[in-house]
Amino acid sequence: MRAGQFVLLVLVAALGLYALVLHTRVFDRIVMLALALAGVVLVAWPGLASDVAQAVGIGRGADLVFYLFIIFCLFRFVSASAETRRLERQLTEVVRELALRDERALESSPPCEPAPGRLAAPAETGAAAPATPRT
Amino acid sequence: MTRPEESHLDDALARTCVVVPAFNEADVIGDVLARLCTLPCTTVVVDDGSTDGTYDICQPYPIHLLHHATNLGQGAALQTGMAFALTRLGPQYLVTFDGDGQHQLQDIAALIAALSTGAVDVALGTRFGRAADAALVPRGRRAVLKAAVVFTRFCTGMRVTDAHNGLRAFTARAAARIELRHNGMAHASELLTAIRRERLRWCEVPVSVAYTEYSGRKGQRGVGALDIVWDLVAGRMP
Repeated sequence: MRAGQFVLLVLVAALGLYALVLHTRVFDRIVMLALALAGVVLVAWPGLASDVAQAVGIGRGADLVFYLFIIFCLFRFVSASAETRRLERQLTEVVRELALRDERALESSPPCEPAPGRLAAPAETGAAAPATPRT
Repeated sequence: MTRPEESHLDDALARTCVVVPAFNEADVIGDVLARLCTLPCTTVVVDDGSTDGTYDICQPYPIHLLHHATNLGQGAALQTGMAFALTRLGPQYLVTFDGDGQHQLQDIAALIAALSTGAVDVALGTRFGRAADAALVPRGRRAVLKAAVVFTRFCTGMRVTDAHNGLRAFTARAAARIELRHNGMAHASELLTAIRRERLRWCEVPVSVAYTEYSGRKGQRGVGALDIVWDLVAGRMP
């Protein structure tokens, strides 16, 4: 085994183990583990990727790996967007729930007259109608 | 002194709840609320996580004041305000009114008058119903709005003349059937889609929008339209 192979093997195996201990969903862990295994196999048998690429008509093994990598990245991008959107919905629910639970919003407030000095109301036609606070 | 139809309208306004979404409107919100308080209707302000003291400025007014802990977007603020009004206040009519002061009080009455006939469930404000109102729209804005109208018609199949006008009125029954899930500005198109899906009867009512230096600075920029298109397309994804 060459030194380069050894370094790559250690790195890929370490990544695979790291994915195992991460508290992600089981499906994600399986995917990461499968990828790490595929990486180990490809590093251990350098000619394999080329053979497979030749067999499916893609050309070099590096091209095959690169294309698979792009597909994987696109997949991750889409699922990450969906995940972000889901989180956004949850955040909205939380913030809305907090806002709606604030009982101060239901309190009747003082009548209209004492508008804050800094932004005094422009005199609208006649006297201001009495406020109609509802509780 | 007041004519019968006027007192009828006053009755309707007294059973109206105006929902005002506000994000960083400290400069104008006080003025907007002072104007709204001259109407007999109830006002609900949703401070959408403002960082400029909008909440504190709203506090002295006789309104229901809600606060988003963080900024979610205008669609989310409207949905919160409408949910609050429907569940806690029980009005007969709901109006959405932008917090930046570009809408006119008398237009609220016009919208409610349209609803109180019972012929429609939703009254949408349009800047292009009267030549005088349309003339107020700056030329640059008009081009963007026209494009938005075409896009909206295409998306919703509704022959509206204005898009993204923040002044609208709903009957409580209609509002209860609309749920805004787009937090950002795409809620305007989403709202129309909901109106169509729920087979609500709607009409447009001419309103005028004051374009001030402030609203121009605050309002949606042209590139915002891209965000809206993106929101709508991305929203179709699971």
